[in-house]
Amino acid sequence: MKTTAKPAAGVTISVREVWKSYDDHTVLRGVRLEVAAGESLVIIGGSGEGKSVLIRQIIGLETPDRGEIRLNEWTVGEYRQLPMEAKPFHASMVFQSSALLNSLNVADNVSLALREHRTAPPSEIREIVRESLAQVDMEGTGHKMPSELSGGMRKRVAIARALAIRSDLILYDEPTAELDPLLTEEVGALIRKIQQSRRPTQVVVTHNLPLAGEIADHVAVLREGQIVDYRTGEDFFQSDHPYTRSLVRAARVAL
Amino acid sequence: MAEASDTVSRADRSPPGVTAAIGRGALDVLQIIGECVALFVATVWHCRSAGRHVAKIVAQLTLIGTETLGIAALVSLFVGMVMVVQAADQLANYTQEVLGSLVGLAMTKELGPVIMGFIVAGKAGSAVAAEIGSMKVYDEIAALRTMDIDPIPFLSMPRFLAMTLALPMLVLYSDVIGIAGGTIVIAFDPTISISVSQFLENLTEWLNFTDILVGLFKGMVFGMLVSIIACAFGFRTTGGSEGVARSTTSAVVWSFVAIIIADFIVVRVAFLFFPSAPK
Repeated sequence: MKTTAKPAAGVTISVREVWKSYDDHTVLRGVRLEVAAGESLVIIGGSGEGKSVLIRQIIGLETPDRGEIRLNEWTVGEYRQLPMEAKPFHASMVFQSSALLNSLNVADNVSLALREHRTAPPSEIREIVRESLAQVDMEGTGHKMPSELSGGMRKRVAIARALAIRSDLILYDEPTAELDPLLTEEVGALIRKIQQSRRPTQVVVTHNLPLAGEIADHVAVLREGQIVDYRTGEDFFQSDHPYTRSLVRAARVAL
Repeated sequence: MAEASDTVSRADRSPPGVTAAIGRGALDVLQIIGECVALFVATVWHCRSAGRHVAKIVAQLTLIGTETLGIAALVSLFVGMVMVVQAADQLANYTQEVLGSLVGLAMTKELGPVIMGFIVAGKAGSAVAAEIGSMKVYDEIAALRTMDIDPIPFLSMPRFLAMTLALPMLVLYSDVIGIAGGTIVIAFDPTISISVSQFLENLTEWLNFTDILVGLFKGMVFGMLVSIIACAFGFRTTGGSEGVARSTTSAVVWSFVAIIIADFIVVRVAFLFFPSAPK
């Protein structure tokens, strides 16, 4: 684990007929999805359509009722069972709330996984933290507490935490939610920068269609628990699917 | 047929009866007890890695100390004082010479552990439930899981060990201050006919090491209970900041009830194993 800028290992995601219900409410209804290694997929859909549930299943925070999700040749369950040092690739998630530990400063948040798993000596961990923070333009903030950071800065630290373990798969849950347009642009630019520099597989859940247009290799539209439209990022805004068209129209009105 | 299905659908829509509400409540209680037992077993299992988390355990001990020492001193002092005032009044027509043993035994065996258990539950237990509850609702615990960091050794175990170690120390602290409070009243209250030396003589004559040990053991048990209940309610928190508030309140109430029940059980067991202990 020498530098965070090393190219990512390829991680393919294969979502096969995934169903998920909570009590009587079925959220995912046989979702199928393939994401190629190094690809950036954006998942679009209305609130409560199951976008976040889907990526929480990809990272292994929840398990499907039926169907399976594979990361390369491993099911998510098998992958999660592997100890950190035996994992063939690393997966991270950037949460909507950033999910920084408020009791730790920025540097300790970024280095948390490395310190807990003792994957590198302290001097190397310090260097990785410095480099990860530099990649997200947050140099010199290691001593700050999360409460001292703005929403955009917290998001960038959360991304630095993913970079510190050299994630080959990064999942973003509403990375620009609750951010103003300038901060949204900043976070979007950062996701593009990571995409160009390391080529990890990225899955971004967002309501922000302009962001999707900028970062997506492919866009999947989730509605009523199913993928109803799937296109390249370039084709997305010309989609003839009625639901996609209504989303695009609503986004243009909002702009 | 249509009539039958109409009856069924009306029954489905009707509010649950008293029996159903009681049944649901009982199931909830059983589920919480089950979660606490499972968390206790997992936490004890992870205590083998305590050496790696010494800094976190010390940080928790410091937190418990700073949260509770002041209020513990104040409460223990006044409990010791009021006990002497009340008992002296009741014993005025008999003999006040037994005040020493009464205050000593009551503080070390019962009041010290229970008061400290309540204070730690109210101050440190509520803080733990709120902290872990917030971490749960703001996805910090989920983030730990994505980094393959098990929340039990990371969060629960240091708090469990810290409270289990801190409570016996706080019980001893409370015993000393409570007895000191009683001594102050003996020294300055003109209605009390015995001297401080008589009070302390009677106390040391009746109070033995087993009594203190039983009190410390109770403190240890209460520390385990408060920490596990606080962590368990933290981990089961849902529903944003309202959920955190609900979990915090529930953790404190459950801790109070658990302390009282455990107190009874420990006393009964102590009577079985140390028949001479309760004089």
